[in-house]
Amino acid sequence: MRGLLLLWATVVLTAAGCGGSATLTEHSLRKEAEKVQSSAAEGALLAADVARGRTTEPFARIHSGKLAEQAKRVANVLRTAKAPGLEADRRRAADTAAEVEQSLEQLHSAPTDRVLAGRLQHALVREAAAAGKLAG
Amino acid sequence: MKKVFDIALGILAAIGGFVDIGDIVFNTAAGAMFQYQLLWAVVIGVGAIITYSEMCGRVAVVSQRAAFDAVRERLGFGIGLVALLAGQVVNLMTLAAEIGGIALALQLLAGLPFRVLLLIGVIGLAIVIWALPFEWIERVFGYFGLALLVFAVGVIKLRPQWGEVATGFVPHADTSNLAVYGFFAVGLLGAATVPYEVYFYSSGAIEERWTPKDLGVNKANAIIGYSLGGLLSFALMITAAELFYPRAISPETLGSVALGAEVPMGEVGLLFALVGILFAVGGAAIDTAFSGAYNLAQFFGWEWGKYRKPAEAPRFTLAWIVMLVLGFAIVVTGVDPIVVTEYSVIFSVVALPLTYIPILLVANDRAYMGNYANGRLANVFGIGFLVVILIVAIAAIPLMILSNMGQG
Repeated sequence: MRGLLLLWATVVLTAAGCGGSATLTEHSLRKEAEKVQSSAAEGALLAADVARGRTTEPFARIHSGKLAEQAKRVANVLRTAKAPGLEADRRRAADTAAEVEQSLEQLHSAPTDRVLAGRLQHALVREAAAAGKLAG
Repeated sequence: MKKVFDIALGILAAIGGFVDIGDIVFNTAAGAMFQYQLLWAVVIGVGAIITYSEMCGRVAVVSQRAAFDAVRERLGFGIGLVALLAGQVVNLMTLAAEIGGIALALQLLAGLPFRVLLLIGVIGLAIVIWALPFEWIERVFGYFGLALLVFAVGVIKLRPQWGEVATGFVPHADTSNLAVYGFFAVGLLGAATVPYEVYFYSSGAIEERWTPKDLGVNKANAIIGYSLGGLLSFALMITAAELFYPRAISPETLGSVALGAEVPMGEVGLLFALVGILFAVGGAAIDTAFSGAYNLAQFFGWEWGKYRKPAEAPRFTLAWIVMLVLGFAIVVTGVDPIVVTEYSVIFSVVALPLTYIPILLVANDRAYMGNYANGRLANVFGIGFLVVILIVAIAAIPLMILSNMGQG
């Protein structure tokens, strides 16, 4: 019985620990920055096609939505995590991820607006470059 | 003339039917991560599937017994049951991934909610399986799957450095992360040789009532069809290498794959890519549902075959319906179909020897095969590929853990 209680306590404490903020190492921070770079660069390709009228509305809307979700997930991780000794980089990466998410959300909301898409393409290229620097 | 026509139709179906969601995901991700470096793995995978499909097609034609019949007889009930369970788990995971892929492709085409399309997709599959004869199912999905050739056109438009592409056919690892490289090599081999393909192929030979006169058709379908199907895999990998690798894009959705056709060819390229993905993945979903039903029926000795009316093979019919329902139930939970695909391919690699060893043994059994037993060439290729399969089966799980599922 005591063994079962101990096991239960371990499970509960582990689960509670999982809900807390993660700690990012240099490697894991770089990996998160790579994900931001990837979403931004792919979003830029999509935005370029929207701007040139080379895609369909459902594809642009759905795919930009998926990319925005990816960026949001990474932004959440970067915002809540701790990165001892790397806090400045973590904050920069979190800000960039949030910007990427915002750009992709705009594309998701207006998938036929070619002028906006042109602006978003340039923004996403810049954001991809910024994340790329953090990814090393 | 009729034979030439049959061969042409079979080859076309094989090209379109070769690529499934596992090939699409792994080839695109491998190109984005390692450029052309893993093209050689596709060559080995295609070589293995040609060798063993030809073999199990020949076994089916000569003995009128499909692959899982042979598995049970050769491995006995106990180990045969393990092979059945392993095969069914992999089939179900693959089916779930393919059903999810259908809904994703439909969503990118129509923009409707995923779960609605999931339901429409699975009901559509059930109606198609129920209503169409076997040959038509195979051909309709194979032919529309040919729309994936848009990626081959895209490659030409992207103008890769062909000299660099050629270096990818020689195994080499220009990377510091060997575990991830190994994981993708295993994934590519696994995606090309998933067990359901040979189970479906051998059962299909009986469904189409091939006789020894059709052994030429069997050989041509396997060699030419799968080789050309392999070209689609090359095209997906080279497209990703050209578009995604230089931009450090890590493609994680089917939309990323379709974007690879849209960028060089615009809306037309996108639509061809999405239709190709829809039918390739839809065809694979039917193959896996049937494969699950074939395996059960052949193992337990039930009546089976699409050529029979449902009332004549009720347990077989019930089996594919249950497979579809279970596949749907897995994806409707909200699990990511792409993640399911990655796991299904890696676990299928582990189960590969249980499929391929019995086929090789039966194809060499002169009591079974008479003059149609394996010759020297078939055995050289068969044993060679079996050694590769054994190595990757042992390495698959450790590489999955070491590479953090390919994430590094």
